[in-house]
Amino acid sequence: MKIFRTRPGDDIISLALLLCALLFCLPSTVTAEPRKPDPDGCLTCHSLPGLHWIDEDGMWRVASIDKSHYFSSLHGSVPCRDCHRKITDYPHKVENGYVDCSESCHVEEPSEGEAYTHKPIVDEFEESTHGKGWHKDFAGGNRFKELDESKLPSCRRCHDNALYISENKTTLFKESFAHTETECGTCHVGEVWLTQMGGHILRRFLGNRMNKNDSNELCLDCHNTPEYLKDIELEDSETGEKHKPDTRWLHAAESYQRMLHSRLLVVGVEDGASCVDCHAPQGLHHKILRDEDEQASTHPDNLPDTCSASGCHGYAKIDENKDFVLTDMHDTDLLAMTLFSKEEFNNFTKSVWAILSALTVPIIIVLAIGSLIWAFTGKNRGLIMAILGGEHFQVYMAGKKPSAKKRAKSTTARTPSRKSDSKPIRKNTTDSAETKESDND
Amino acid sequence: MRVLNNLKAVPAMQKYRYFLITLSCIAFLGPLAFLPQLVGNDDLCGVLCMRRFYLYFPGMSWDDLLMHITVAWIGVIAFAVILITTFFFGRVWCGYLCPVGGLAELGSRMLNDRWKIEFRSLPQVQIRYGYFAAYMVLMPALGISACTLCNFITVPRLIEAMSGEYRGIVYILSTVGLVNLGLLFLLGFFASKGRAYCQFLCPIGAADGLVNKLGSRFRWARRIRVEKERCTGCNICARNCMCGAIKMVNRVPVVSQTSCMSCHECVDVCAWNAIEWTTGPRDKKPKKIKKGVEIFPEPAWQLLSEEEMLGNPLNGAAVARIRVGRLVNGLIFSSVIAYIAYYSILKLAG
Amino acid sequence: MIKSLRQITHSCSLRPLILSIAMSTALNAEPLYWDRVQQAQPDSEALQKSEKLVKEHKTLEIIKRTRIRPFHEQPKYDKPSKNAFCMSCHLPLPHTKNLRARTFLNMHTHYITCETCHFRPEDVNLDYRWFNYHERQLQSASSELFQVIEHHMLLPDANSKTMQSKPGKQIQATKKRDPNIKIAPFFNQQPVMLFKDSTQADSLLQQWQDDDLQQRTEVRAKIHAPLESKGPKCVACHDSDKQMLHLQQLGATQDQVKAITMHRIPLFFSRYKEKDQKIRIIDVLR
Repeated sequence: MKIFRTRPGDDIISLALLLCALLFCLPSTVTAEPRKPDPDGCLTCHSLPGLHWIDEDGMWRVASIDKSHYFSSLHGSVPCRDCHRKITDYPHKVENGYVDCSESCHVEEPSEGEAYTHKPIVDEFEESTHGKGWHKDFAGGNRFKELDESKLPSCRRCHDNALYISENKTTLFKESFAHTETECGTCHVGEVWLTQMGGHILRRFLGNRMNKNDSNELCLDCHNTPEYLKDIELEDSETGEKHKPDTRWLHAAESYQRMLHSRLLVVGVEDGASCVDCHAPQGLHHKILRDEDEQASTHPDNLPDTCSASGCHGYAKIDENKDFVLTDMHDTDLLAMTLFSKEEFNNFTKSVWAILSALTVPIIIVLAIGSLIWAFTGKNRGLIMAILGGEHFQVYMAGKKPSAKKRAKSTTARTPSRKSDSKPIRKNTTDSAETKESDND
Repeated sequence: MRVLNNLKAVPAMQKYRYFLITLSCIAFLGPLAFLPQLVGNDDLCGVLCMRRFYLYFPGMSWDDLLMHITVAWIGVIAFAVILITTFFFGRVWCGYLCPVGGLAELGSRMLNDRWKIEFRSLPQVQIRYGYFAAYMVLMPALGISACTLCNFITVPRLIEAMSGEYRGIVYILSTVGLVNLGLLFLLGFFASKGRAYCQFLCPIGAADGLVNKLGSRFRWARRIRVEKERCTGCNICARNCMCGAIKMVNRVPVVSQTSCMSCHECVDVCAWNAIEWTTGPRDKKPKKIKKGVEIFPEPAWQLLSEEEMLGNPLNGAAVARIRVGRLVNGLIFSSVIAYIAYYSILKLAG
Repeated sequence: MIKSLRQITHSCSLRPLILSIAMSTALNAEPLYWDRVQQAQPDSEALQKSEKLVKEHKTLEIIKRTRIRPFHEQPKYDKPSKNAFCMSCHLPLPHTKNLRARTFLNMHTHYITCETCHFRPEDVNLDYRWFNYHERQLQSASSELFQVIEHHMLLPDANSKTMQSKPGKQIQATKKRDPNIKIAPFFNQQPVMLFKDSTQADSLLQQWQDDDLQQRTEVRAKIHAPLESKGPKCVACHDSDKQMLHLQQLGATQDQVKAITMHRIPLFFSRYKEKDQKIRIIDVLR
């Protein structure tokens, strides 16, 4: 059969599509018809390109859906109406298209035969600090409304309908799939295996779930834009008071990116730690809580468990390391000082580091100015000693005996002026060398 | 003109060394930093980290150590290579290649010697290994990130800032950045010979110094050695030694093998060929004894120690001072080892 | 004569001006639409309506990207061309109100210029040709111009071990289609439309920009007087019997003509009798 191609990846997409479409069929029904990908015919119109309009808010809306992408996507085997439940008529009522991610769909989970749903994740998410935002009634048209009403993330703000096999893994997937029939197929005989379960298992095998960098990308999308975050009001977990976020919170992503945890991930070393690794290591990775919350994985009491989880810092659990787990992972000392507000800046300048730098700067200035003056006026003759500790060096390292003069002075006179003192030393050192030389001769 | 003459007066070997340091600065530091970029890094942090793996956390298991190594295996290999070359040839990395210490040194050498701080006469071993122990054992347990003072990351960042890159500028404006900039100036540019950081705070230098000391026990290891019969005691070597490794004891240079970087400058400035970067003599026995005079066909090339040179107990004060230093060293090391042993046993028992 | 003038126009920055002169002198006539605008004598009802619309008008800022991305991947699509005179005021996707048809109508703006549907004077016979807005000249008829970039559907064949694909029903495009080429009405071998930067259009815009309500009302009424607010029904073109456009003459192949005239969606739309009527999709498509 002649295969038509519009895009180079289409054959791969077809492969993925095949697997998606048949993925959730019951294993016992070998001769079962493939699931109809679009039983309600929605895509008759919606797959047409160019169905654009501009709505009342001025938002450029697109009703076209990339059909081949949809069928190769995570939801490729879910008929439209499983999510957009109430749509029956055309033109649709907007509310009829609202999506609630916690609803179950007609796809069955293969091992237990239960209807599939995202409810457990939604439940967990609702408990989290993010959870008070939108979690249902999603439609393309109310994206603006959601943005206006809440800055908290909703399902759709982080997740879109991604490809079942992501594009960077398609080659790998294809290569792996080419072997399955000969290798896995020795035991797993038959069509069902090949067409229904093989791809599903392989996808897991390839690790197609989000890796640490992928999940970080979602968090950083908001948390790395302080302009977006700065108007958010945070709620104090104890008093319930609302307050503006501080610099530490606002620039948490920036300070994180300076630490080894992030730096390892960025260069592709998976041993680094992603946001979720520390902030939601348990369960379905959606229960992110404020540090102050006692249930939070980042609460000081829970940090030993969090840090020692998944083979990272095993020693963190030991009592003697109780300070180690308090190592500041969002160290504001690493942030540019210009980021701080006026009040915060005052607190900030009291840190040890700030005092230390305040001390060193004057010394450097004195040295630099002296150095500059010397460069133009100083005479480059004989022995030049450093201004601080030079003498000690001459005595202790270069082996110049503390001269009789100096010894006498130290008993009779008090503190000789540096100028008068430096001269005899110069003389003495050269003298001693000369005498030694003549001895040798 | 004066600058040109000064430049001409630099010994050939040192010119070569400066050239190597410059090359390595270009290769390792921003904005080019093409060597780290070969492994996908733009500085010496992350997978190239040479130092984090040997930090000791109480109760650390072998798995944890292995994890620390696998995370930064490239850095660990680089560190091993540095130590191995040091064992045979002296601290070649530190003296000839290290872009971080080298940059500070070159900067310092461009400034005049008058307005500088002389750190070289401070008790190096005690300070260095005291800090090293704290760095390795104390700071991790206290939750002070070892990265904040790591010169391998701070200096490249500062260079980045000077080349106008955003991340570097943000860093230089932070307090940690300012403190490190201060350190670079005080222990680098404004330190006499510019190697104070290497001598006191660099953990790689500290580990390297130990290996250097260990290797110096072997005759075939190349080290800076002294032929005391040739020495006139002019102390030019001690004055020129950038590490403060040479101390004149009874008018003979004693080279501290924990501090020496084998930079060869003492050899270049010695007018009497009394000091040399070489292996030890093949034969310690005299070839011939004629009329009670022992005749050696080759120079002695000794590794002198202070005690050896002091010899007579006349200079009692000096001996006592040295013994205090040794005591401090001993205390530091035994306490660190005891600390590590205690928690390792605790871990085994628990 | 025309050819030589075109050559000048290509190498000259004053192209629009020269072009309009060329159009008016070489072809010796003003665009038909312009004539009608000039002749227009809007009655008081039209003026009232016009005034209301001018008053109510508010500019809309178009937002293409929001922080929340669309959940479904959207097919890649060319930006609509904004070269038509109408686009001086109207949105690049002009149809916003008709809930039922707006997206479909907007889709048609890629192929059909505004005047094709909205300027249909009864007293003259217009013929329709492909016109290149960018080059301001006739485009020779070609089947390529009908093409759609269609992501064809791939159906897995469950009874076979090998992956097989069935090509989509639509015509496939290999080249990108130029969105500046549209079907436009012609009268006496001359396009009837005004062009965006022609002298006539500029004079109209000048009057508008004076920001005088009276003047604006008049200008708006005049501009819209020769036009019809509603275009023809779908079946005017999507029907094999009564074709407004001569598809074959415009370069459509047999298949393309068939695809257009037998299309399901216009048939579906023809069942709507009332304005706000809703029809169950399942009844139509099954």
